[in-house]
This record gives sequence, structure tokens and C-alpha cells, in this order.
Amino acid sequence: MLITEKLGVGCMADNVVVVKNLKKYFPLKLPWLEAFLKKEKPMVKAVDDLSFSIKKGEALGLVGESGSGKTTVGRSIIRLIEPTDGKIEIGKKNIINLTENELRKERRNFQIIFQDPMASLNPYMTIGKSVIHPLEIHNIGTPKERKERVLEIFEKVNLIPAKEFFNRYPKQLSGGQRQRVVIARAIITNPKFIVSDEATAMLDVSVRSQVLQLMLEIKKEYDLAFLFITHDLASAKYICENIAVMYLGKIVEIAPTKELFENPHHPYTQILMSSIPVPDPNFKKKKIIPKGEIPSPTNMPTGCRFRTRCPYAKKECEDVDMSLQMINERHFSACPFF
Amino acid sequence: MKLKTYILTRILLSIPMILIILTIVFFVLRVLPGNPVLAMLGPKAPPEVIHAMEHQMGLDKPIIIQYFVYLSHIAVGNFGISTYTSLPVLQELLQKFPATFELTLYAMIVAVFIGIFMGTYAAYNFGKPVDIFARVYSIFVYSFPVFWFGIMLQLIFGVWLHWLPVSGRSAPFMIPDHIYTGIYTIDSLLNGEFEVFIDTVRHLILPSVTLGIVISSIFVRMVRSNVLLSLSSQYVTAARARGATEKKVLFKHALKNAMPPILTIMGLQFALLLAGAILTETTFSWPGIGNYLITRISYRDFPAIQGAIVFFAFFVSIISILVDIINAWIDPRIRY
Amino acid sequence: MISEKLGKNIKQLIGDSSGVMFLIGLFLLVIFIIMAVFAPYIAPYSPIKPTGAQLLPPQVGHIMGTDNLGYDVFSRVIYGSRMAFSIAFIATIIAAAIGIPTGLIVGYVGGKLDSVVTMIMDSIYTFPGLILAIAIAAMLGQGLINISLSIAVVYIPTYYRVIRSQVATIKSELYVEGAKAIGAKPKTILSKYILPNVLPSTIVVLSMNIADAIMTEAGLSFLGLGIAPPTPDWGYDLSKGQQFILQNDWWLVVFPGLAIILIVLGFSMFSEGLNEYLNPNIGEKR
Repeated sequence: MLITEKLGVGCMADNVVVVKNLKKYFPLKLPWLEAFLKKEKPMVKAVDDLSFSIKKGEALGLVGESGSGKTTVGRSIIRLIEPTDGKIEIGKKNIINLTENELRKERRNFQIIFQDPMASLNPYMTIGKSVIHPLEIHNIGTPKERKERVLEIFEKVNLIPAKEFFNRYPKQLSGGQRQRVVIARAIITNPKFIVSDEATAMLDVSVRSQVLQLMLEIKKEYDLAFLFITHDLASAKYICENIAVMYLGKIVEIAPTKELFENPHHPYTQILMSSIPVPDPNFKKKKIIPKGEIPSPTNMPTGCRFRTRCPYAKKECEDVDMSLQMINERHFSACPFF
Repeated sequence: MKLKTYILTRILLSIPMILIILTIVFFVLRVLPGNPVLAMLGPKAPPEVIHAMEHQMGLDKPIIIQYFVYLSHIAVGNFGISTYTSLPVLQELLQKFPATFELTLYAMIVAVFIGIFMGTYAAYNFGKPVDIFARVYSIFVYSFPVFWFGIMLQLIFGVWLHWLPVSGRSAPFMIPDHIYTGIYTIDSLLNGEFEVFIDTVRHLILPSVTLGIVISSIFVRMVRSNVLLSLSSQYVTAARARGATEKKVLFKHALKNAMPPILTIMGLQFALLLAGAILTETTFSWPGIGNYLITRISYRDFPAIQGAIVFFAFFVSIISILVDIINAWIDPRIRY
Repeated sequence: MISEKLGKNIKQLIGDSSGVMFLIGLFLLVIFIIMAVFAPYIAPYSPIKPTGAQLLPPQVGHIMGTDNLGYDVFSRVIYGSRMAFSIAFIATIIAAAIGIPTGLIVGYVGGKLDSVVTMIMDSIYTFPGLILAIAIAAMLGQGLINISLSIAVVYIPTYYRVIRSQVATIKSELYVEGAKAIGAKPKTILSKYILPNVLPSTIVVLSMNIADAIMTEAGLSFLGLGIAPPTPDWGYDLSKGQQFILQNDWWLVVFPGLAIILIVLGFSMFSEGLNEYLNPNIGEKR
């Protein structure tokens, strides 16, 4: 709670998305006999007490390895999965308290772009129908206006000639084109906020930069708030004003992009930084290698969750809580020793 | 999971299944239109007689009470009294059961025998004439109505060639002296009555081959595709690389590894086998439970109809439990 | 243009054995459909009016002979296709009309409802279908609708299981989540996003099911639980004919039986081919 307020000092009014103390726990599946006998069900803490805010026209990068819980964050803040606890405001609306029906109506204001564009499109619907569908659901415009709007958006996302694309099926498109369709579908209702869940991870490198460019453009044009979930710090750097680094359900560091790259504080962030390839062959970087594998979320280390892999771990790490410490006004880190 | 735990779990799991089937049978026989008393006595029966009969059968009580009375009776093995013979239904069923069991047992042996040999050879000769024959065979035989196939065999081997008897379980006076199991092929051998044994086998051939061949189509398909799968797997390649003979490769490695899924299918086909048994019994006047059920339907003997169906339900459940346990015993992976 | 495309498709079909199967199946079905639709024009006699001559072997005038009541067997076989089709279609439609929506909704909702309904459906599924149909038919009595109903009950779980298991997979697809994300109602998600994706395999089950339903109907009427005589019905005619095989009147049983085999074969081959075409990756499931 503290952090969000600090992060948004002085310009609270600009915050499109405010997330406070978000938690998402999954019950662990047990064999029936054990499940029957155990009273307290063990939980997997996929997202554990997360807070952040995103301003209008800004993107927050959420960076972490697979298994860090970043995808769960993206899905629970738009209630595609129900969060266990926490407060979520999108465009001043409290999302948590909405009934199913209200939530459905509210969904025109926030959208999500998934990782796999082929899987995100109904194979039995033409892409025109897929993109027009949100307008139909929310009853926006007349059928004629809707179609015009779709064609207009298709041109914007560079699906040209738009009229020809309208009647194609997803399998007739390339991966990059499909992701453009998904982006078109996401922005057609003029949302305020978009979650991008690894949206470029499955695309070829050449296509990836084009799609990133497109996302940057639409972010500017629609003044969108973006939550950019990725495991790739370089793409996050390209799009985001701020970056949050996640590890095992916790944010370990959050800072403006430039600041984070120039002055990474948390050991985990430093490790991530050191693994980005640098195009300059003369540049010798100090490589820090983490120890071992990411621990299972069912069996989390006590204290600092990163300590089992941290090259600087010491005894005290076993009882630190992972609350964020202020480094400077807009830079916070969860490591008290570094 | 230990085998014991698995068996326990499996048995516990089958209880709701049996309950559901018992409930469905109850509702089919009691709630559907068609008053059993009226059906038994005919529409012209005087009302007093109808009421008396309803009272005697407990049909005047609320349906929910009738339901629990029905369940509690079945739980203690009380299947009611036949309105046709006035004998306890369970006693009649137990007396008919060995005939059905003997028929299905030998039919299963025929089906498995054909299935394993034809399926394995078809898989081994993939794409060759043997394989094509096996595929055509399984498609054709699957579309044979059991009773029609039975009648055809009766016509050919009974009427035209006079080789085998066309109906019944035995010739007059050709019943084993002492009944131990009720399975005549076994009892006659135990008694040392060779003539009775031959007569029993002669009566058994047509019905069991009829049922066995019709069921075998599924086995041929399953064995073929499972053996094909294991022939293309690495352990077969490895066995070949070690220089195992082709016969050994086929029967020791490929077939053995294809066995567990085949067993499961066998269990699943048991329901089909029983359904086929009813038709086969009717076709060959085989005095089993299927024949009993159909005869009693024509006499409107409701306790007997209900009893026979409940009996089938238990029979199917027990067999499927047994198959699952055997499977779990052979292949421990199933238990998890 | 069209003929060229058609030719290409047929070539493709004949290329592998499942294509040949599909075409043979289709051919058989077309013949039976023509038989059923144009029965009065094809059949030389009325199927329910004795021709006077009893138990005649096949000969000119009665190419399949006559039965003990003097009915023309050929005419009864032709008309019998009507009964087979009507009962199989009605039964299949009832079963699908109950099984498909139940599978869709239960599969989508999941949870406790799923466990309970699935257990009930599985119990019916594992119970021998014919025995259940016999029980219901014995209670309901003879007649077209009654028999169709008894057969339908048996096949509801078949649809339910296929649909439910597919819905359970499809509902975790991203495009369903995407539909939720754009604010689609469950009804819309089911009808526009899930149903079109389960339909191809449903069509295959439907056509396989018709074959099974015809078989079950023949069984029921063979056991005397089918349509009231003298309505022509293959199963019933077979059971009547069986009484005369000892005197070698083979034509009474051979022809109705062949009719059942060919129609069942037609549907099985047709659906087998359809399956390969619509769900090339599913493979052998039966």
C-alpha cells in the first residue's frame, strides 16, 4: 500500500491502474485420502502481496522467469482468474467488487493480448468476425459502423488490404499477422488498459520488432496504460517507462526503466541484466550466474525467496521479509543488504 | 498406491455406480407409464383384485418408500418372488446363471483367440493381404447382427450339413449326473461322463462361436493397433538389434507390451458381450439369464424382469472391478 | 471449375483406403435412402397384404420368395428400410438433443456438477446398452416412439462423454479465455466459441450412432419388443423366419439380415471415412 502511494506521488490522478496487495493462492491437489484427512489445505502462493500502479499512456514491464507468477498477475488483475485477495482499480473503477454482469460490461475498458496468437483466435471464425465481436457484445455502433471501424483498425495495424483480410480464417495468416489481429481485437473497444502477456515471445525475431513497434504506436495513439509481461528485459526496455522484476510471486525490484538498467539493485535483477546479450564484442560484462533451479512454489524458502540461488546469500537472508525498501523516490528493492 | 488400497478404492468407487444403475432400473420399472399390476392381470381385472395385488406387491406405498424397500431387499439378496413360477427370483437366476457364464466364457475365449492371432499377424504384415483381410474382417463382422449370424450358422452347420445341433444346451438325458459348478463342460469331465461332455461341446460350439466371432472384430482392431504401436517402439528395435528371432520379437516383446490396453478393452467389451449373450441365448434357445429375461417379459413377470436386470448390473460391475484389479496387478502404473 | 475441384477431391479420397471406404459407405447409404423414400414405387407388392402364395422360394415374381403368411419378402425388405431409418433417426436425434447440451453445459461449468453428472452417465455407459433398452422397451411397450425412446436413453451418455471431454479441453484454450476477456456471456462463449469446435467430432459420433441404433433396433424387434406386426421390420421378420429354417426356408432369414448388415456397414464405413476427413489427428477411438 505504502509503495503504490509513494510510486504515484503527486500525480495520483493520472493512475489508470492501481493494484494493492494482490494475492493469488492456488490450492494444491492431493490424493483423495490425504485431502480427506488434512484439514488445512496447502496453498501455492503464485502471487503474494503485489502492489503497483500504471499511469495513463505509460507501460509497466513485469519481468521474470517462467514460474515467477507474472502471467497469474496479468490474468488476475482483469479477473480472468479470481484473485484471492487485494484491491484492483482500473480507470477509477473497483474491479474486485463487480458482479459477473457488471464485470462483463466493464471489460470493454481493459483487454489482454496472449502469447500464442493462433490459440487466441477461434479457428472457426473469420478474423473480421473475431474483431467485430467485442463491438457486438458491448453493443457499440450499428452493424455498418462496426464493420467500418474494424476495417479502419485493420489498416491501423497494417492488415492491408483490410477488406480482404476481413474474410480470412486465422490459419490463412502468418504468426505476425495473427498477433496484429489480436491487437486489433484488443483495441477495438477503445480500452484504457491493456495487458500484454508475453505477446511477442512466440514470434520470429524479425516480426517481433515490428509487433513491438506497433504496440508502441497504439500505446501512444490511444494514451493506453500497458502492463507488459515478459521474460525478455530487452523488449521491456523498448516499450516500458517502468519495470518491475518478479521472482516467485513477489516483486523484488521496481524502478523507471532507465534507472533500473543503469543502477540495478537487487541481485536477481543484476543476474537478469547480465544475461542480456550485448551487441558490442569489446564490451566485457561481469557475468553473474545464479545457482541451481528456481525452487518449486509448493516448497518456498523461508525469508528471502531468492536466497537459495543468490550468489550473495548469507545467514540473515533466512529471516528477512521481502518488503520493498526505498532506494530513491521512484526506485524500490526487496533486498535490504545490497 | 498399494495394490490393497487400490482394490479398496476401486470397490468403494463402484458402489455409487451400482446404486445409480439400481436407481435407474427402479425408475424404469416403477415410474414409467405402464402399471405392472394392470399389465399382469389385464385391463378387465376387477378393481378389488387389482388393489389386493398392488398391496401385496407394496405398490400402494409412496414411491420413495417403495424405493428404499427395493434397495434394502436387494441388499439382503431378496429379489422377490416370480409371479409366473412362484419361486424366489434369485434362486431361479442362480440356477440359470451357469449357462450364461459358460456361453460368455467360451465366446470370450473364441474372441480373444481370433483377436490376438489375427490382430498380431495383421500388424506384423502391415499393409499386406493378411492385414487388409483382417481390416475387412473386422469391419464386416462388426456389422453382423449376432442373431442373424447365429441363424446362418444354424442353417449351414445344423440344417444343411447336419453336423451340429441347432438349439438348446444338451440333448435329452445328456445332463451331467452331479452338478458341481453348473458349467456342463466342467461337470461332465468331473463326473467322467465322456459322452455328456461331447454332447455339451457339440451344443456349445455354435452359440459360443457365433458370439465369439461377432465380438472378435473389436479385438482384432485393438490388438492390431496396439501391436503396431509397440512394434514401432524402441524396445522392439532394441530386441531386434540384440538378434532376437522375429517370432520372439512378435510374441514376447510386441504382444506382451501391447497386452495391458488389450485387457482393458476386454473389460469394456464385456458389456457388449452380455448384450450379445441375450440375443445369442434367444437365437439358440440357450437356457441362460438372457433367455429367462426375454421369456419373462412375455409373461409380464415383473419381479423376474427386475431381478434379471439387477443381476446383470452386478455381474457387469464385478467383472469390471476384476479386470481393473488384474490390470493394476500386471501394470502398477495404473494404480496412480 | 467445380468439376475440377470435385475430381481432385475424389482422387484424393480414392488415394487412401479410408477414402474408398467413405465412398462405398456413401453409395450404400444412398441406395438405402432411395429404397426408403421410393418404397411404394420400388416394391412390387404391398408389404402387409398377403399375395396368396405362402413360403415360396425366390423365383420370378418373388425374387426373395414369400413368407408363411404369403407376404412378399422383397417388398418387406424394401419397406423395412423405412422403419430402420425412422427409429434410428428419431433415437439419435433424441439422444443427441439431450446428450449434447448436457455435455456442453456440464463440461463448461465443471466442478461438482461435472463429477455427479459424469458418474451417472458413466454408470449408464458401462451398463450393457441393449439390456437397458430391453428394460425400457418392456415397460413402454411396442411402437415407433417408445422404441426410439428406449434406444435413445442408451446413447445419451455416448454424446455426453464425447462432448464433455472435448469441452473440458477447449474451455482452457486461449480463444475461450479471450472471449471471456472481451466480455462475452457464457451462452455466447458456448455457442460461438466452443460448439463450432466440438461439432466435427459430434457429426462423426452421430453417424456412427445411427449404425448402432439400427443394430439395437433390430435386436429389440428380434426379441419381440419392437414394432407391432405386421409392420415390416427386419429384426421382427428375422425372428419369424427363424421358425422355418429347420425346413430350409433360408430366404426368410438371409435377405432381411443382409439388409441390416449392408445398412450398418454403410453407416460405419461412411462415418469411418468422415472421421478421417474431419478429425485427421484423432485416429482409432472405437
